Amino acid sequence: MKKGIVTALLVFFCFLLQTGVMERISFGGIMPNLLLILSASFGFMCGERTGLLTGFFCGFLADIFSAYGAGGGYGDLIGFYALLYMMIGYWNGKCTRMFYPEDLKLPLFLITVSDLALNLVCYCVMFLLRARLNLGYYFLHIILPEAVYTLIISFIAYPVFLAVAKRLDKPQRGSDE
Amino acid sequence: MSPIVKRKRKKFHIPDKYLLMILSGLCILLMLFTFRTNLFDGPLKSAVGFAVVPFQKGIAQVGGYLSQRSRELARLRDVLAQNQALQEQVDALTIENNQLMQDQYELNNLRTLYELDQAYASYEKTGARIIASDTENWFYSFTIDKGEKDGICVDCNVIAGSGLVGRVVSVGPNFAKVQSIISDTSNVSATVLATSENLIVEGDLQSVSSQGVIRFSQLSDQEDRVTIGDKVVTSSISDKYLPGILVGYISAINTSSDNLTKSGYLTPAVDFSHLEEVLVIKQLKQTG
Repeated sequence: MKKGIVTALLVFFCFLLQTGVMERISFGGIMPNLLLILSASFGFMCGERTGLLTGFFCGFLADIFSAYGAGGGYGDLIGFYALLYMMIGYWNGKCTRMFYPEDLKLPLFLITVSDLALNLVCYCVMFLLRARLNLGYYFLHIILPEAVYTLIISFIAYPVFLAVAKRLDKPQRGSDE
Repeated sequence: MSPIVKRKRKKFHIPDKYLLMILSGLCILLMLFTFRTNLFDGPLKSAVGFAVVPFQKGIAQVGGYLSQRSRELARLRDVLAQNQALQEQVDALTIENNQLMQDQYELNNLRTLYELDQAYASYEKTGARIIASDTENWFYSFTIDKGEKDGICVDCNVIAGSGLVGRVVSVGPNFAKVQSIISDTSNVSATVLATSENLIVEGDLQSVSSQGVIRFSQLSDQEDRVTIGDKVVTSSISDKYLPGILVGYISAINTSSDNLTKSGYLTPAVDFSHLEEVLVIKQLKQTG
């Protein structure tokens, strides 16, 4: 229960940071993806279930505040990012067995791969299907810079998430679980 | 101590795989529903407006305050104030000049044809602050801190300074989402002010992020009268945008491969990378 509340607050806080602060520290118009770092790291730190739930709620918030211009004139398409982030949380959860908190290589690798995968899917669904065929350009100017910037930011964000997850996983005195 | 050992009730637990399947199904259903309808708009947006928007406003205020202070450090305070006042004046004059040019063109052209005394009334506007950006890098959209309560509705035009920023695509009680004209899915019907040739301004991520320009196409200009630097304003045949709002200046013209129309690039009138506040025109384009 406590874990759920703390994770929910963390999702909310990261969403506020993503929409309010990341824009201001964006580099060449590219901002890092904090919500992705959160979904992926809760996936491989806490398992598939936590990962997919964290991802779902991160994506859901992202959906509400995005305008794709695809929604038939209504501007809203809810569920797209929720599905993507949830899959990211779930597949990262599959790597829990390989994960050791002391090792920094695997988390950073997983976060980067997740970011590349997320943006490749975004490109295929939202750009390729509208005949924007220049994958090379989009890869070099949007997808790769975002992955690199996200990797840099995860050096700061991941230890914070790890600390939170460690505190949450400690057996609580008087707790049922 | 009681000898009765309480048996713990086993907690009902859905396996992860099924949870994933259920939530995926939910996402797909939601996508199908929200693609064509705005079924969930009411309750969802009220909830979001209540829970998220106040925090975003706070962050935007702090951010605005900090960026303001840092700017003041960089420049002298009074120079900044003076500059701002002059900039406002320039903006106002640019709008006025634009409208005057448009008016004059119309007057010259149409007075001879029939009596049309349509002058561009100054639209009723409201200022709004940008409180949140998009979460991804793919589209240029943002959220503002005014919504239905302030008289903003879907398709309201959004301007900043003297140029067009975009239009409202979705509105909640106290916030609204704005799609900018540089967004990849945006299309604006516009007209070259000097020759009144119509063209389509197409948002394009590639040209925006590489050169800071927007693509245009379908300019029919057989006599090569349109030149680089010409002003482009929203056209009167657009069904979303009010006529006569400055979009940008033509920066490059090419002949399309069909040899009938021209395409090219225009420099937007608005500096999209430093937007903090925008003006929303409450009046909608009359299409009926």
